[in-house]
Amino acid sequence: MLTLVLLLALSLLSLVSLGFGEAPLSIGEVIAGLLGTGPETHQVIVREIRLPRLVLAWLVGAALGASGAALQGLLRNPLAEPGLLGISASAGLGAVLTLYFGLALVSPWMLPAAAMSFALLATLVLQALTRAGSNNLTLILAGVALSSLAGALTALALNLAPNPSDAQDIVLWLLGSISDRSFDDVWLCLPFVLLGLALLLGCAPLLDALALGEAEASSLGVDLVHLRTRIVLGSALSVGATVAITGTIGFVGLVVPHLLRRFVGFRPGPLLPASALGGAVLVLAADIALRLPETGREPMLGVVTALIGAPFFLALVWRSRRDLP
Amino acid sequence: MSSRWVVLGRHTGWLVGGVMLWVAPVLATTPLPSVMSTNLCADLLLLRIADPGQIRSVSRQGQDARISPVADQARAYPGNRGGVEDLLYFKPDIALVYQGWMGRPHAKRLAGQGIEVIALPYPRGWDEALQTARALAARLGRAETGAALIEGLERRMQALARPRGAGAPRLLYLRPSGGTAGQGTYVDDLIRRLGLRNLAAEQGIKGWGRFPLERLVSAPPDVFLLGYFDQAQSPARSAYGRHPRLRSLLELTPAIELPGQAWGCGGLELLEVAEQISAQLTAIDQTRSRTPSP
Repeated sequence: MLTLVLLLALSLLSLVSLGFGEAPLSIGEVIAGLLGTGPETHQVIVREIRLPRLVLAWLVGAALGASGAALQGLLRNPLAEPGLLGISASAGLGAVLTLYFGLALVSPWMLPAAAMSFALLATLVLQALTRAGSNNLTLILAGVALSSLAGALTALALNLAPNPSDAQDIVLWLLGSISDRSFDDVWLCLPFVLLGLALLLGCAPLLDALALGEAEASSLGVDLVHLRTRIVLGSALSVGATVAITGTIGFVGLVVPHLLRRFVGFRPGPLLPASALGGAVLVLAADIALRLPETGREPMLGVVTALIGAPFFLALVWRSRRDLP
Repeated sequence: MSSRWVVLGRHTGWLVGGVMLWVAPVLATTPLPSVMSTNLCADLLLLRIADPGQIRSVSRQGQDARISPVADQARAYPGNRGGVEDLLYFKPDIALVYQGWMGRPHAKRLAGQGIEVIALPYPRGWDEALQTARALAARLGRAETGAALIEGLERRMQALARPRGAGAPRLLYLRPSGGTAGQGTYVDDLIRRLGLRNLAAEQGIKGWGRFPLERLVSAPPDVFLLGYFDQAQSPARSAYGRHPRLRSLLELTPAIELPGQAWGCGGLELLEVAEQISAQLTAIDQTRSRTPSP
């Protein structure tokens, strides 16, 4: 039922998103452009400019939502999220370093590769910390430390950037955006996001078992090492690949699982696919919202998700302050 | 005092021209104020209108060949980073800064040290650029030389103006990030001064805005005016600049490419930019007239 509602919302918002843009196209013209029956200009606008943006919104949202749900299930921590834990910032650092050293010119694949490697590194550090017996607080602090470190190194790279306008563009890019992307960008991240999502979604039944506790899960035959590896790899692949294309977009992985948890009976397993869909819905809605005001200059997507997510996070901390040591 | 005469000696041409003959006695009693500039745009202006002898220092940006068109000339002077300390160290009579200079709260202290801080405005057009240059020249004690120089520039700019008509090509200034220049920018001023049409302004864009890709597809320009595309190699720089649709439009539409460092300041160098645009437009027209349109 929930899946159906989310799918319906996603299709509706997708249509709205395709209908939104600089060129005033009617819904009929949009559909004709999409199907390739309209005039060439309309086809170009819908297929080459609006459609890649839509597909990226799906991919980013699904990657962030699923990673958030999986990490929350694995670490059994409601505050786990790629953005808060520094995974996105680390992926961003990887991408900036590739750009900085000109490696992206060697091959376009260097960009997602570096972003994914750095995301993997950050996830491994966090995972080592939780295995060493850390609690909610130390985990979040470690995330803060990783985010700050990645942010500082990114800023250092910008300081040393040969060209001041380079620095400006990279700063803007880091704020996260999916506008003006093309299918070249989509193909660059699609395989990794799909692979990462497959790894994560396959973990759903195992996460249900883990919710009972590690010892119980082991007794039910869950290979914990295998499960951790899958989630770490899956998050790093999907988040890293999307960050490389869209910049860092925060809080989606935090907000979505929280909103949907009660509808799946608080079970981490079904929450995973629901969060993937919900993430896509949220990113798409945010991307539509930022196009609503006629300001001439769009706000960045990462800014809009943070505007939604940060107050949400504060409320969450407020509510759970008794649980935190 | 003797150094002043040495400096004047370098300008014997001007003396013969009669302009400086009148100024010379004044200079003999009041030496030209010393001056330093703390950013690239101020460097560009200063190096054009100041007497080499009065320049204490120029900014490091101005000496960096990657971003400065006058790097060689600027390296003849000590470089500075544009901090308050730099100003205190070089102790010029006049320090040129940009509007948003961070050291402004110290202006009073600097004034106590005999340093006058002048914030150069960011010009919105050629006239403003000339006005700034004229005012600075006067402040530097070079009113006559400055006026002569500026008059020459003004004449050259006027000579470039084409007869304006409905058939004038529509230009679109574009940066790899999708940035463009609408009404009220020096780019717009320059385009209209040349008798051409600025597509961004016609589409209602005011100031430094963005030209959406969708609008580019439905309302393409006759000629692109590309800024900073020479530096647009890295993928992060902009999804816009790498978009296949823009790329294919760029292949079909004639484009005037200007190096990134050419006109970021909108100062007197606008003239050279205008000359480049004019020359390249003539070349485009010639190719067009040679190849019959399909």
